[in-house]
Amino acid sequence: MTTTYDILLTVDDLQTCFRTEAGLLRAVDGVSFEIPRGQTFALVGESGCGKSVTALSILKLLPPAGISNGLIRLGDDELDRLTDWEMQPVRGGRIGMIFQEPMTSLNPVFTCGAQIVEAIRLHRECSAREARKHAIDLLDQVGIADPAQRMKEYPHQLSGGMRQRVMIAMALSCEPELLIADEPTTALDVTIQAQILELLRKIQRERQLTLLLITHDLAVVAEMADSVGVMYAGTMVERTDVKQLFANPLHPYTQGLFRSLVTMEETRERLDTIPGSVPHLSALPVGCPFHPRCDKGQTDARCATCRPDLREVAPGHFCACYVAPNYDNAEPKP
Amino acid sequence: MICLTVVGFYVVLAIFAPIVLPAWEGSENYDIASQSPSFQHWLGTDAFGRDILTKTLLGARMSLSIAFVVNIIAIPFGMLLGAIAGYFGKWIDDAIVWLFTTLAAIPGLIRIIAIKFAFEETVLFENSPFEIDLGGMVGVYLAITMTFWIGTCRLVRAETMKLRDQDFVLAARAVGRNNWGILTKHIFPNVMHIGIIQMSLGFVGAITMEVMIRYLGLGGSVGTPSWGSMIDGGRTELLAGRPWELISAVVAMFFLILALSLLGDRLRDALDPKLKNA
Amino acid sequence: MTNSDNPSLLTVNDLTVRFPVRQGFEHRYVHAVERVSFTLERGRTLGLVGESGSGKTTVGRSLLGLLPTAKIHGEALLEDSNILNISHSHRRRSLTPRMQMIFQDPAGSLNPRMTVGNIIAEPLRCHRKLTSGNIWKRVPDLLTQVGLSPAYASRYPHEFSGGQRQRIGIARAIALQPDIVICDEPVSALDVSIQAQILNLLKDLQDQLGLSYLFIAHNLAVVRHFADDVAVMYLGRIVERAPADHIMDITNVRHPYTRSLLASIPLPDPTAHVGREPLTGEMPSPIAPPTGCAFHPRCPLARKVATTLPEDQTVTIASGDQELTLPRTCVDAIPTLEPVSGESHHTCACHFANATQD
Repeated sequence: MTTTYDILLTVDDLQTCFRTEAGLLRAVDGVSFEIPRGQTFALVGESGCGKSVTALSILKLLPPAGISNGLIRLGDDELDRLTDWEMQPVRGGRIGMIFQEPMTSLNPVFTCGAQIVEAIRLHRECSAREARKHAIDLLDQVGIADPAQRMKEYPHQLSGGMRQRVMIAMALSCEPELLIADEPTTALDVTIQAQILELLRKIQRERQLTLLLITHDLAVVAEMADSVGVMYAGTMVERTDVKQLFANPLHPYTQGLFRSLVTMEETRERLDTIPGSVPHLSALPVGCPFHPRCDKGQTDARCATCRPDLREVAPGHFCACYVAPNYDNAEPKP
Repeated sequence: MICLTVVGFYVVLAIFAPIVLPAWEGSENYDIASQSPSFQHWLGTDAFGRDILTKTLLGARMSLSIAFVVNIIAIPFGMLLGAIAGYFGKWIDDAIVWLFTTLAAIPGLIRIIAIKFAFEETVLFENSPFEIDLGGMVGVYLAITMTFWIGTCRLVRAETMKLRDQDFVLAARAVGRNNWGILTKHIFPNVMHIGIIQMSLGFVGAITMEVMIRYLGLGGSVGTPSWGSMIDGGRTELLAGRPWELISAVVAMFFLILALSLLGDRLRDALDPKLKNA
Repeated sequence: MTNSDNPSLLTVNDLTVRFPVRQGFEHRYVHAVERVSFTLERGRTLGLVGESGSGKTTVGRSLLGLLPTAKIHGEALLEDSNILNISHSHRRRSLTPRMQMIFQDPAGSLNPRMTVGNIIAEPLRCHRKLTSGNIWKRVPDLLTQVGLSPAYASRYPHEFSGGQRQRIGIARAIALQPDIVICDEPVSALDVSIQAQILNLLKDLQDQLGLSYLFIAHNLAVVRHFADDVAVMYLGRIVERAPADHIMDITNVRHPYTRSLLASIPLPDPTAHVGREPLTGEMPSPIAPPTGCAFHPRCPLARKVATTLPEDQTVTIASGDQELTLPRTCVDAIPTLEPVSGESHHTCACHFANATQD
């Protein structure tokens, strides 16, 4: 573990399950990572891998059927020990969150201004007028033209890009230390996505904000992240800094993801694919969850019997695969 | 499952009661009027000397037949109109909405009275062992039916409007289906669950309405047994300290309505496609 | 250009689609598609690219007659027979068996209450080309062709994953053996690894069945990989058209919107320098499109060119809370698609297409 950086968020062995009619489903099974202050960590994976659930577990925003265990430390505080009541000031106050679908995450029957003001007044003692002024200021900072007018408008009157900016303004309103962005640009057009990503970078620079970015888009990861964790079926299969990941992906799933990427550069007649599909949480394979689809041919007998844990196979580069070079020599995590 | 059994029991009763039980017509016997429960008359007798137990069992017939007839007509009619209104939109929608809004605006009682008197004398299935002497009830049936289709129509219309914009309807049009094909093969199967749920709720509503109407004296001849008239008649008996008629009608109604309501809830859970996928 | 042996399967000329809409007491129109023209040759793929509001989906739907409320003008010829504004029976006879569609949302495009077999058999039933017995022989073949087990015919859509549902949709689209398949964002709703599978399937089917595709998407990389030619749309108009590999190199691109679009795409390379200026503002509403060139309020090239022009050729307009000085032609005149100098098959709709752009 690095000691030279000031680590803001530590997640250690997070496990989240859901009680369902089909039994206990493990949505997140032993995920660990750290984010140094002021940096961006990206959680990458396809749908169903558990990345959104991880974010919700950190904020304790799981539905009643969800139970979560594991260490979550923000600065000096251990969040996992807090009750729901004690988490209130943390949510919004220390950790802000923006969601994928701005239409459904903004309340359609309240004006944008009312919603931002509400967020502000939940965490601060100030008068309505001060809150309004702060809100207008925030809207301006997130690049909304004519903010005073926008305050009076309803979410459906704004475009997708604007709504996302409003969401960002709301999330920033109480000066959080950590911002969690769950697929913030997936629903947006590419030119608007570029604007929003630029905005996030600018905010990060100005406020020394730490960012936990959740996405399935590797290109966005390349643009925004300092370090990356790749998730598959609820487990983290690879974790390293972003340059290492793109230069030398070690886990077969990560390699498969890169191969299936449709890039602007080359044209291939046929795309490489990862055969099969992501297993349902109620039917996870025994052993490594990826092994039925793995092109390494299960060369190691352990693949089908015992799940590999995440080990540091190279400095700063963690991988959970028996076939990764240097895996057997690496120390298991303490 | 229990509810289904209970409802089933009532239905069987309704169909076979008149055949099995001793004759109802002409069983007035003023000598034994208003007696408490005894060995010959398990629930006592009413003001006219008729056996209350028989009356209760036959009353089931009246209630269930109303419920059945009304819903069999009203619900599909409401579904049809709702689907047409929701799917075609524009002036057809406007016309149908106008229709049910206007009908709904007429106070229920006045509507019922007016129609009832128009159809006073009609009898269903004349001269058969299953003859249902509605005793002027045709009008009442009609009136209740005219109320009941509106709720279903509204719900189906709303659901159809949602379905109309879905991609699979567009896809059906792309492969060559015409409007009626889309309505029958795509819209109806997806609103069927609304009809079924409404039907079970409608049974409850119809029974309640019938009882109310009879109680208010608006329908039916005094001779035909029904729970509503039992409650009405039972009122005066109650004051005289003889609650048998009232209680037995109420209890019989209670169990039937309870069974139907629970059945309706379970049906809704089982048929709701969203819950199915959860 | 056109001779008697017209190789073009589909020719679209000046297609215009407007939706009447009532705002308060006024009747207004959503100008979804404005004077769009293109051709699609047999066996080739034309990619139609644009952001939301560009009208690309509307183009596809109008060609298939799926927009009953729209006012459609212009001409679309499927090998010399007109396919716009025709009666339902005429469409069923001449158009539907030859042109089909794949939809974006794998869940919404399949009737949840119909079995997979019935969904795929529906086009066959509607056209009564086969007897009932033969229909039930064809369905398993179609399922196998799209990579699904024939046993799936008796199951319901909700039992399948997104990728599998999309395959079912594809099976339905090819059931009538059409000449053209319009793919309306077929992979946008799918995970990356599944996208690749579906794109491969579509390519294979094109080779096996000789299909022509109109591939509508917002993901440029996917279009570039998949299409032979690309047309870029902005606010209902085609602003640039070129062969796919040509258009994806930003130095070849002439229209400033296409340039911005290309520049906005994030690159999966952390070492690449992120130095570009993102395009400001948003696409205007199609109810009140800007005068002249639709892109002028946001166009970086227009602003640059205006500085080089004398004052009488420029005009100052208000945009948001700023004032912009732009060339008069950009604000007044709608640009038409003109061939780019020195390049065949590359057209661009910009008044200053040949101006140098850095």
